[in-house]
Amino acid sequence: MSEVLLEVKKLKKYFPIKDGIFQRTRGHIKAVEEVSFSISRGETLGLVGESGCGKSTVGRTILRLNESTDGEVFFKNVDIFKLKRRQLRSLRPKMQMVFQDPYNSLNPRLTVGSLIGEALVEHGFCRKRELKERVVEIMEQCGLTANLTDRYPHEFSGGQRQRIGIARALALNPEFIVCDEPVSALDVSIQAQIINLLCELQEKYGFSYLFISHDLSVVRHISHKVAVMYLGVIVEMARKGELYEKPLHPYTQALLSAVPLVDPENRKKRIVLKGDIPNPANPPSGCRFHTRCPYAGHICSRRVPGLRTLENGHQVACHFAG
Amino acid sequence: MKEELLQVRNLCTYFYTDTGVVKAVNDVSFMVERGQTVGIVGESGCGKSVMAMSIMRLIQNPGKIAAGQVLFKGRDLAGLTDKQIRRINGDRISMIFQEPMTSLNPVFTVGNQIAEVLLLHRNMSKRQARERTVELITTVGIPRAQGVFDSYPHELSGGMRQRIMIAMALACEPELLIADEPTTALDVTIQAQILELLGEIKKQYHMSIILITHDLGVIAEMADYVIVMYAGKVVERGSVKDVFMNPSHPYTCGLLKSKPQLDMENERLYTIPGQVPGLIELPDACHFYDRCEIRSSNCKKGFPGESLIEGSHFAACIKAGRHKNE
Repeated sequence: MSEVLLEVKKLKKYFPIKDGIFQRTRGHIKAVEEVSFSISRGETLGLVGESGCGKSTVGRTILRLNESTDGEVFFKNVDIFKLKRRQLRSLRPKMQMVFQDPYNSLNPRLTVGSLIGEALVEHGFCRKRELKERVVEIMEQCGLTANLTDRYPHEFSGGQRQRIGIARALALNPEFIVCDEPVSALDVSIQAQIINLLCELQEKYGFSYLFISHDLSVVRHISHKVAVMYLGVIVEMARKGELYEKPLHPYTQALLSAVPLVDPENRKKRIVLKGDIPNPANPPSGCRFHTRCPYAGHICSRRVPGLRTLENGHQVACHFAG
Repeated sequence: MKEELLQVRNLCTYFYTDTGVVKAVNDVSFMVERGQTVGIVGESGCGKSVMAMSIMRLIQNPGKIAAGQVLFKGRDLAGLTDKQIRRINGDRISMIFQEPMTSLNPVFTVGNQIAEVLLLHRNMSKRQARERTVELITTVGIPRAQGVFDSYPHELSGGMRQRIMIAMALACEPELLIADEPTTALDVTIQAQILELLGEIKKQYHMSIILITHDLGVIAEMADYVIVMYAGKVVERGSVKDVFMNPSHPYTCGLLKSKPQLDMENERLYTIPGQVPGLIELPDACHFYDRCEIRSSNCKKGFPGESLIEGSHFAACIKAGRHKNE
């Protein structure tokens, strides 16, 4: 567990806002601002936050699906952002991604067999002759039966499509998988099947996951470590038990209290945050959360709170926490 | 105290498609009392939205209310003419939808869209309608109501749009509000705001709410009475406490067990095997048969009737309540 597989250092990603006929840059959406974390082998880091907080951008930028603005990402001690195209390509099989929407991330014109086999041939993992066998093997691991190889994506339900998505990621024996909201589009009973599948595969192959989700209860179930993002920054990061038992950042506290519990006898008092997430093109000064924070003081609008490490490796970015 | 507001009796809504008859809502009965929140829960395709649409008479071709009654204060909505139903919809019964972006008209200001309801149902003058609208916008917790009156839907965030939808639904102080997945498209902190708001206005206007959602947590927090639907049928209904504390249909049990909980940790999630059956030509048997853990050959002999567990708690399972001890 101790070997660090992926290390992200001060990752930044700005998207330019372009305007007018000359498409001049009028400003930047600061989607990700100095995010750092590391993931060990066989570990799952849950990344939670509300829509627009930059969690998906982090996932995509780590895999270089977006070019980063600044920062470094080390995968097995190799700086991914410095790699040339060809070098990157040879590293690709090791880092895979499972997307949120299984309806839009599968090519509707390819059969399931070729969807999964495509990457195997492309990266020279397997000869044409063995291809079919290997594809079936992968499909079975993901709970799909061999007779489905010649079907098209539209013939499948959401849960099965997500299994195909996972099979695609699995095909190349990756070491690291970014799961971007893999169960958000699914019903509860199907969600549980997919979560269990992801857990089983991890046990079997020792993958590391970056599990991106807005659903705190799903993240609690699957992660070892959890990071909470707000407006492009990580506000709190800790081991799972720590974070859920003793949330220190007021945003995490509000987020946790906002989740409805399946227990009608215990209708708790929620901390209801006022207002919406501010515009990331023009984030609030100082602590980005101070506009909605119930405990905000004078210092909060002036100084940016750094991520401080408290006992048990519990990290929090708040002037008052701890 | 107990006053019946809405009674749905043996409602059947079918869609006549080329491939066969889809029985989206199949013989559903339930009741809503005044001031009560009734939660309808189920997975996608179980017919919960179609049920809401049927109550509002919004079902369009090829769909049809094939049988049954929807009694609103003793009057059968299913038998009314279109003209009559339009006087009730938006006035006595109103609805909020899941996706506030697609249910607001993008080319009118939100203020005008709310005021339209008042002009139509209340014969107000334009000025009165504007005043009342600004009041409504304030009621749903939007600051700067005057300014928001003149903004277009795209200028507002998801949470704000949903508040506008609620303001619109409230315009005529309806007796029944149908909320179809009102918070599904929203973030948890915004969801908490909207749920809080719904609770407040319910008290303030003393109205009944039918809350449709797939999120068991939302139901547990909001509802008084719960209806669990599966493949067009009600499989279990009862007070929130009864259903969550003593789930009696194997489907409800499975749903509750398969949801990851915030306050609990367990190694493996329980899963209901298989998936929801297609709604075309369902056999005359328990629709949950293929996925059920406690099925027996008797389950294939017709769809099980509702058996009483206790009080107002029913489950449509021949083994209801018994399997947990086995």
